[in-house]
Order: sequence, then C-alpha cells, then structure tokens
Amino acid sequence: MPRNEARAIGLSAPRSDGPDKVRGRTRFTDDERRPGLLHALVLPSSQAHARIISIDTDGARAQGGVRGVFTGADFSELIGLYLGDKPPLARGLVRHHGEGVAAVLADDEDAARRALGLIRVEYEPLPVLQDPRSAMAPGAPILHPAMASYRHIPAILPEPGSNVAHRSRIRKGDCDAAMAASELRIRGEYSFPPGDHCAMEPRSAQAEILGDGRVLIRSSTQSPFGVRTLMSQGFGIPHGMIEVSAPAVGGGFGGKAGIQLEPLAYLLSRSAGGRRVRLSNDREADMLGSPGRPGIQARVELGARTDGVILAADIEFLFDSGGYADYAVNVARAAGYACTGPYRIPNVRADSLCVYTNHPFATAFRGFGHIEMSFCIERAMDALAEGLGMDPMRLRLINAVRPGDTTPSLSVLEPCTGDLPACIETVARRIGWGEGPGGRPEPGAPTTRAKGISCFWKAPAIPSFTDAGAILSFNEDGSVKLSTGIVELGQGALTGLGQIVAEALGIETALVHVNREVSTDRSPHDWTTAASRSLFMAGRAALAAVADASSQLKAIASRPLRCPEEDLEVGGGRVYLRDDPEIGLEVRALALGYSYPDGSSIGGPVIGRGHYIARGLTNLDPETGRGRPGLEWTLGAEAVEVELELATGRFRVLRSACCMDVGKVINPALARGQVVGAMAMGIGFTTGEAFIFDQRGRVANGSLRDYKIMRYGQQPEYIVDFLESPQGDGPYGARGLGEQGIIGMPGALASALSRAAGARLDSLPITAETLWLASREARQ
Amino acid sequence: MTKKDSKLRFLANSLPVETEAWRGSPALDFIRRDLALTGTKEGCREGDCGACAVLVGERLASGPGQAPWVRYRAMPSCLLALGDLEEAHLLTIEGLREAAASGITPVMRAMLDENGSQCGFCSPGIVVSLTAFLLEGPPYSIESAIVAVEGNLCRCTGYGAIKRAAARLVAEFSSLPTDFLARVAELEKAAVIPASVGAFARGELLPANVAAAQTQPPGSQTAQPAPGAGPALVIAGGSDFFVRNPKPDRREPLALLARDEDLRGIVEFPGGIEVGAAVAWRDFFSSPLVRSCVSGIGAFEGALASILVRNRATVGGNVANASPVGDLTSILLALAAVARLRGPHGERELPLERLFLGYKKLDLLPGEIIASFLIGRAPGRVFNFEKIAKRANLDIAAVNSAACIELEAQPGRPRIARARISAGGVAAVPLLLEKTSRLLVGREAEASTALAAMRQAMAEVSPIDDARGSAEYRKKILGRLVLAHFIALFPELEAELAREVLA
Repeated sequence: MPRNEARAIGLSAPRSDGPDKVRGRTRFTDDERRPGLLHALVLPSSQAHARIISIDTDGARAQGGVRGVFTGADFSELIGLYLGDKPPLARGLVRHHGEGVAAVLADDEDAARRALGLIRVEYEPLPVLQDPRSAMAPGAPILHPAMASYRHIPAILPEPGSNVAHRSRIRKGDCDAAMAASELRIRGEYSFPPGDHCAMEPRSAQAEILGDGRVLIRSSTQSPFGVRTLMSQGFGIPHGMIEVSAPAVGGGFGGKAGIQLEPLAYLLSRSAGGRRVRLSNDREADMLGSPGRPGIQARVELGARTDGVILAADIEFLFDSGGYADYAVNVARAAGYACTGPYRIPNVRADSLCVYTNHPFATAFRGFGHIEMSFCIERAMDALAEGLGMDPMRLRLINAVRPGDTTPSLSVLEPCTGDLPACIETVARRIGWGEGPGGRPEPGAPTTRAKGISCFWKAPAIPSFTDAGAILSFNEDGSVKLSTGIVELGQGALTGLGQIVAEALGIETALVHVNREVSTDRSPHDWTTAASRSLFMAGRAALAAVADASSQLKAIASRPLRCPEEDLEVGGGRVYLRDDPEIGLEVRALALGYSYPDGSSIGGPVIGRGHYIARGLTNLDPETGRGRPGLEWTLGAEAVEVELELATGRFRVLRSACCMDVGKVINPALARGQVVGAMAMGIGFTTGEAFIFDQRGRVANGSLRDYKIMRYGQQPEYIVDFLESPQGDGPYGARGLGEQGIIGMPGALASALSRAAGARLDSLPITAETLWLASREARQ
Repeated sequence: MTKKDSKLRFLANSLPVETEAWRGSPALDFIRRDLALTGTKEGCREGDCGACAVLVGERLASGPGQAPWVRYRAMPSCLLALGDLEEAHLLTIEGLREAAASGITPVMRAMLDENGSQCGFCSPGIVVSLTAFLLEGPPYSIESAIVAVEGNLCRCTGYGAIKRAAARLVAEFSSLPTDFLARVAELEKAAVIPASVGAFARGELLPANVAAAQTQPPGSQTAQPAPGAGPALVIAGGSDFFVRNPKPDRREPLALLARDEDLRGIVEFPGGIEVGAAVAWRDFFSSPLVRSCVSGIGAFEGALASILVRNRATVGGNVANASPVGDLTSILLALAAVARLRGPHGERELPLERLFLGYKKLDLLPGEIIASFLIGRAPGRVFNFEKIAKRANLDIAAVNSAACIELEAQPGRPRIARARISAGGVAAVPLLLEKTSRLLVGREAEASTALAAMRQAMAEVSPIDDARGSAEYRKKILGRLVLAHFIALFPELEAELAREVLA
C-alpha cells in the first residue's frame, strides 16, 4: 500500500452528488424525454384474482395518436430472475389487484390516457388467497399450475402442485430432543401484511431497439446488470446486444432490483418497430403494479433453561409473496439462514417458505428477510423473557452470538465478527434501560412510557459468485476517474468509494471522480447495488485497481528515476523513492505517459483494473441448509422509548438508539444518515406501513394519502453509535451498514408499545387503533 | 365564459410565458413537459409528498383604494390548476438557482452541509418550501420552519438532517425585516431568491401585455360558470379535485374559482362574518376577522393539512367535496355556518347541515356554486376541534369533531346556553350531532355532562369500516373526542374525566 499523504477515511467528506441534488439538476430517468418518444400506460386489474373473459380494445385502438393496444395474448414470454413466473401482462388470469392487463402505446400521454379509459375488461372473479397459510391449505386454488415448467436457478426450490415458490430448510442439532429437555418453552405466532417501499421516485423506464438489433434500456434501477440478465433470459437477446444505463435513482430500498418496467417497455418498443418507449409509474401503479415488500405469517417456539440459556428453536416463516415470486423467493431463503437472529442456539429446525397469494407481488426490501425474521424472533425473545421472569436485555446478552459460534446454517462466525454484547450494552446505556417507568400503566394515569430493546444481524443474501469490478484511470490535471457498476440511490456509495480511492492514493477526495451513471456497456460488471455490499465489494475492487495502477506508475517512473520499481511509493500525487521522498515525479507527469526532456515518451495511459468476488461462499444444502451464505455478518442492537395515551391509543416514539459494529466508518456523516434513515423507515414499518385489503383482496390504501409513511414531527431523537471491530476482508475493515438500521426497529418498538399497553402485540402494523383495543382489553 | 383572449400569461422564473394550454390541467405537467423544468418532481399527484412544490407569487387586492400587494407561497404544483397562474410569478427550483452565481443558494447550502439530501428526489421541493418560509417573513423559529417543510415527504433521511438544515436557516436569517419589499431586497442580496422576485413585486417584471395588472388584480376576470350554461367543471383550490382527477381531460366550460376576488374575501356584517368560498385555509385561519369571531380557532390550523395543501385548499372546496370527514366542514358545522349559494337563478342561503343530501351528494342546483359562508358572532362562545388519524400529523382523519359551546355565567359552574357538536367520519355525510347538541343545553359544564354527551354521541352515529378505521373504533373515538372537547374547554374536568375513561 502506498504511503498516505492526505487522509480521507473516517472523515465526513461532502456528498459528491449533493450539489446537483439540492439545486434540482440531478436528472432522474423520467427527467429525460427525447423528441419522438412514445408513451405507454398500463391498465391495472381491478380484481385480485379473476379469469379474464374478454378484453375489448377496439375503442382504444380507434383513438387518435394511439400506436397500439396490447394484452397478455400479445407476449408469450415469462420473466423472473430467480423463478420465471411472470407474464409481462396478465395472460388469461389476474393474480393480484393492480396487475397490468393491457397496455396502450401512443404519441403522447394524454392520448394514451384517453385510450386506456376505453378498454373494457370482463372478469370472472375467483376466490382470493389472502394469506400464505390459507394458500397452503388443502383445496386452496393453485395460482401457478404450470410451476413445474418455470425456469429457475438451482438455489430456489419450488414445489409444483402447491403455492410454495420456495422452501428453505434449516436443520441444526437435534431440535426435538433439545426442546424436550428445555425447562421452559414458549410458542408464538407473528404476522404482518405486505406493504410498499415508497421510494420517492416512482419507477420509470425507457426502451429502444436500434437498427442492428441492439437494445437500449434506460431505467431507474438498482441493478443495471441484473436487468440485462433478466432481458437476456426472458427474451433470448445476447447480453452483448443489450445496454442498460442507470442514472441517479431516487431511492430504491430493494424495490428497484427485481422486476420493474424494463421488460414491458422493451416489448412495446419491439411492437413499435424499435421506437423509443417511455413507461413510467404514477404512485398508484408503483405501489400495486410494481413489486412491494412481502408480508409474513410465522410460528416460533423457543426452548430454554431457567437460567435463560436458549437450547432450541423451532421456526416456520411463511412469506406472503403475492401473485409472483420475484426476489421474495430469495428473501425467504435469507430469512432461513438467519432464522434465529443473532443468538447462539445449538438446535434449530426452521422452514422458511415463499408462498403465492393474491396480494401485490413482493420483492427485496431493506433488510431482506432479516427484518421480517427479526420481528418474529424478537417478539419470541420478549415472550421468553416474560416466561422466565427475566430482564429482556439480560436475556439477549446471555444468548448473544460471539465469534466462534455457528449460525443456523452451521457457518462459523469468524474471529473478526463484531461485538454484539458491546452493542447491547451501548444501546441499553443510551436509552436508559432499567431507569424510569418500565411499562405497566399506572392506574388512572392518562399516559404511560415504556422502552423496548432488540438485537439484529444481517448477512447479505448474495449469489456465491457475487462480483464487483473497478477501473481507475487518470486525467491530465492529476485527478482520477473511478468507474464501477454501483448505482447511486442516495446511499452515498459514490462518495465513500471516492474516499477509499483517495485514501489509497493519498490525495484529496475531491480529486477522485466516480462515475455517476452506470452503463452495462461502459462500466465494469457488478452484480447489483443491493445487500449493503457496494462499499465493501466495490471498495475492495477499487483498492485492487489502485494497486494495479500504482504498480504501472512505478514501472514507468522507475525508468526516468533509474531505480528499481520496488523502491518506489505512490502517494500525494507523486511517485517517489521510499528512502528519499524528495526524489520523485508527479503522477500527472506519468499517468498518461512520461515524456523525457527531449520529447521522446514512454508508457501511455495507466489503467488500473480491480475486481473482487465474494470469498468462500457456498450454496446451502437443500435438506439441512448447511453452507456459508453470508459474506459478513453485521451485528447490532436497537432500543426505543415510547409514550402512549391510553384513552385514544395515540403514541409517540420519544427516543431511539442504534449501535452496530460496522468494522470501520468510512464517512461518519453519511453512515449516520443511512442508519437514521433506516431507523425512521423501521418506525414507519412498525406503525403504519402496510397494505389494507378488502374482502376481495383489493388494496384499500394504495396511495400516499392512505398509505402512511413517516412525516416531520413524528421523528424521535435518534442516537447512533458505531463500534469498529475491523472486518478482515472489508476495505479498511468496513462492513455493510446501509440496511441494518431498520432490522431491529419493529422488534424494539413492538416490545416498547406492548409494555406500554400492557398487552402482547405480535402483529403489525401497530396503530393507535390497535393500541387502543389492546390496552382496553388489557385493562378489562 | 372565458376571457376573450384565451391566452394564459404568467412569469416562469425570469421569463414571460404565453400559452393556449388548457387551464384546467395541473401546472406540474406544464412545468415538466412544456417548460422542460424537470427539477420539479412528480411523487404522488395528491399533494401528499411535496416533491412538486413550487413558489407562486401573485398580485392581490387590498382594501378599496389601497394598492395591490404581492405575496409568495409554496404549493404542490400537482394541485395547482394551470389557469391559476394567470399573471402570477411561478418560481421553480431552476428559478431559485438564478439567485446565486454558484447555483447554490444558502437554503441549498444548509441542506448540503447538514446532509439533508440523500437520493435527492425530494430535495428541490424541500428547498422550495424552506425558501418560501424565509420569504414569508418573521417571526422565524425552528417550529415554524418545521411547519413550513412538513408537507414534504423524505424517504431517506428520517428528517433529522432536514430539521438541522431548517434550524440553521432560522439562526442565519432571524433578523430579516418584516416589511416585504425590504425582506425581498435582503434575501436577494443574500442570494436566497433571484432578482425576478423583487422585480415582480415592484411591478417591473411582468408577464407580457399585463400592465393592467399593476392596478387591477386578475381574479375577477377568471371564468365563472355562465348562467344557464349547464354543469361546468368547477375547480377551487384543486386539493381534492386533482386527487380524484390526477390528469383531467380537457372539458368545457371550466370555472376556476381560486383566484376569483369575489369569492375570496372575508368581510364583516352586522352580527357576523362572511367567508368567501375560495378563501384558502391558510387565509381563513390567519384572518383577524375569523380569529376574533371564533376565539382560539387559529390553534387548530396545523392539524388540518400541511402548509403546502393549506395554501391550495379552500373553505368552500372542502364543503363541496362533501367528504364525510372534511376537517373544515366539521368546523363550519359546529360554527352554525350558513352556506350562500349562487346560481343561474340567483342566490339562496342554506344552513350548512342541510346542504348534505347523501354520500358525496350536495343540495346544489345545476350551475349553482357555493359562494360564501355566513358565520355569526356569539359572545361567550368557546370553540374546540379534535381529530384522530392514522398518522399523528397531517393526515386525513378517521374521525373528527368540532364543538362550539355558548356559556352563560351563573353562580358556581357556567351553564351551557347553546351547543353544537359536529362529527366527521361517522356517517355518509358530515354530521351535526343534533341530539348531543340539544342534550347539552341548560346543563352545567361538569363531568357528568361530558359523560352524558359522550354516550349520546356514540348512540347517535353508525359508522362503517374502512381503511382509515373500523366502525367500532370510530364510534369509541368519537366518544373520546367529545370528552376531549370538554377537557380542552374546561381543563378543570380533566382529572375526573380521565378517571372515568380509564376506569
């Protein structure tokens, strides 16, 4: 590693993309409208489960400005990254409210809208599956009778003839024997309905097919390379003939990684002679037609000794995937391998299933299986603490995982795994655990306060071959260009990557220009901007690119300096002799080739190549779950304090604390921003963000007026602490932190509100109404 | 009956715009599509997210003989009818950039330095709202800054960073002058707002061919439903209309009421005040006449909607929308407002409670509009408003209720001479709880009265289940809101009532 002249790591470098964002100059996908663009609109299904008897498109076709009206019958392909189960438009059968049943292509949006209003669809309503358990009951309608013929990756295990799209099994130790030997057993059922990411930018895509057959896609996507693969698999186009470009994305939270609008936009362009087609969601389409997050129904049984040591866990997670599987199959897989939460439990039996229902379909969501799992496990931990008569914080401390412990999939937590007990103790201190009112409402008091605590862990659910590439090159002014496949979604990865390169080269962060837009033609390959892995993996690739460039710089410099390359260092914009730093050359005089005083030149542009691939990951055994699924485990704890008004159920979250062991903080301000944002989203997840369904499975709150995300004034005081036990293979010791702040919030908040209401709240969302009902029942 | 010259003229940032575009479409589409000002974002088309917030400066009439004055307000452009920009100054994020040579104004700088922007999609709207906050004038406080941005949703930050940015601006600009033109000059000097604001305010920079606007406000020229012309598409503030019709198709005739000076006055008459139907909620709650007529009403403004929506939503629009749970409708019902209706066959007056015939159905004749509301003065009247929503702030209520109680002094506890309790969200129409109101008359303001009212209110309604709350919850909550009225109006009852409620 070169000697560092300027320090960059650990400093709050300003966001490189910030100035354009605050002055409204950042151009998101839908801000780009070229002349000649055709506009597409999709007709959403009014039914959740219905046979399509007929679609009358004559009126729509007759409208002026309309270029075409399409239905499922026009496209025979099935799409899906993990499991190819979704037609681009419903074909004969509607599987969820809001599913696209027809599309209009027109010269302008108004014409498309008028035409859309003229399409007549006749439905024959079918019985709706409103939750995974009923979808698994004997006699339940099978939503995908052709499942056996669906293409899927080996890690996904669908069960044709049922509504199970995937089942993960975890078998660790002897669960039955350990359960029988336990002095105390508790059982609980936990659930919440599906919901939506509500990224502020609704999804948008444009597609065009050039004369030579090249397909151009521009999209609000977290995964340009994933979109390319989806398109290639779905439509048989060679990867090299597809270019996907992703400008800045207005928030993703997992929702922009899977099936979005690109396939349909492409098909519509194909139907219109390759003309450029714009397909953009309005908010309602974004919430119902594009994927949301899964719901869950879970059963957890824990067995423990009276001293609080947990011996066994018997777990069933049923994920509500809605009408299609998308990423939800992998979400269920992640919840499986992480099923116990960060507790050392020697005997585990867990089945984690992804089940089709007639709800809007689900994909990845911040926390990816871990937030769902965590809520269930943390509620069970509270029930166990209550059963044992033990302080919930102490119970967690006793059972917290430590280096050397094994996870449910029997992978060993490495010595460099973070320090969970220290995280628990930190949040307990920060929230004042054990101080002040501890729950049970005092008789006659109008309000009561209570606290809750939870732990979390997360390992990214990535394919075992997840990769990242980086290309480093130099400019005449001595600045450098870093190109990666990482999309900027607001997480600040581009700034952090710039800092990593700046630190390695010993230059100012402002001298590192990281590509703002990803193009699958121009950017190095990168799996997906997801799983809190960007800074870790692209950071490692960037460091490798710096090392590669440095050795090239040394090789060039060694000739005019007449010294061995091994004696040279790169830092501070110079290549210099290690033992006599005064002797050296400016990088800018070398990086594009060195010219001797007589004009003759050597070298040429230095291009640093860097790559990284997940180390030592394996697939999981289908019968036992045994394997190493996770690159790294980020550990942490969270705690909240709430105040509840008993007569109405109104409540406020007063304070919330999060402590996680992130290995190394690259940029403190941006890291804090990620954690606080995730905590806020966790509060919303717990207290209001969920779909409400009517009897027919239709979403009753599919707009921001009725789907409640958090506003100003509802935010608590946020207390964030980081521990830094370095991750052995992380760049400068860093590990992922973007999602994790959300994971423990539902558990901590449900715990605090349960204590305040004097009731056990095991279902989300917890609203004023549920609290009022619960506290009334508790008083009676 | 539209203007002879159908062209719409306004100032977009520093450039005059002339267009024949349909006036009933949301300004957002014109801004993004026709003006190609894509810094204004579309997030929801319901006024709920604030990503499309813009500043609108308009020339307003003062009293007779007084010069017109200029006012700037932030509003969601998805709820703004394009025609309401007539002769106004539209200021978007692109216009704000003109304020600073670097393109970074102090408001943007505060957002940057405090890390108030992550994905950046909501940032332009937040910058617009915070700039409007500074432009609207003192007193500046962190609380009022938060009120200014609470109509802007952010999904990334959790709001802490944006709050810090707001606090920083409050500290930086706490000494701005109260005089509008002086403040505009200072804000221009500080590079917060572009020169176009001052130029518009001083009448130097105007949309083309509207010199007349210097002396005559534009509103009265706006289209009115023509007598006998059949049902027109009537849009007041647009805060409900554009939610139901996010992209309305061109229809004629169109009547835009929000800028109609005849409909947006608040005047006094012997025994009361008359509030024009097109008065924006913001103006209703800040009006000295309203505040003196209904003491204490100003405190409830924040509970109704975000400032962005309150700048658009009108008093009459809330009633005309006939939502069973309109907050302002509930308030007007308790205030015994009388609706003054104007139509092809003249004017008539109707007590507000008689205007509602059924779910979303009003007793309006073809061509008739709500022109104003008459609210009587009542000495000794006390007022309270309560609502419960799914979210603590700025939410559509599951249940709301307003109470007006007139008290007579007597030895011991005061006696209730008259009472009107309203309830929203518990029936197909906004309700005046007639039995509950009657029950209170002649009773003393004591705990037993409150409990009797609570029981009567719950017996009087039969709500339904929906996404905002179950029937049982709504009924119970209405009872609680009735008690809350008593606790708010007679704080001495609190301990006793709390015991009863929690028993």
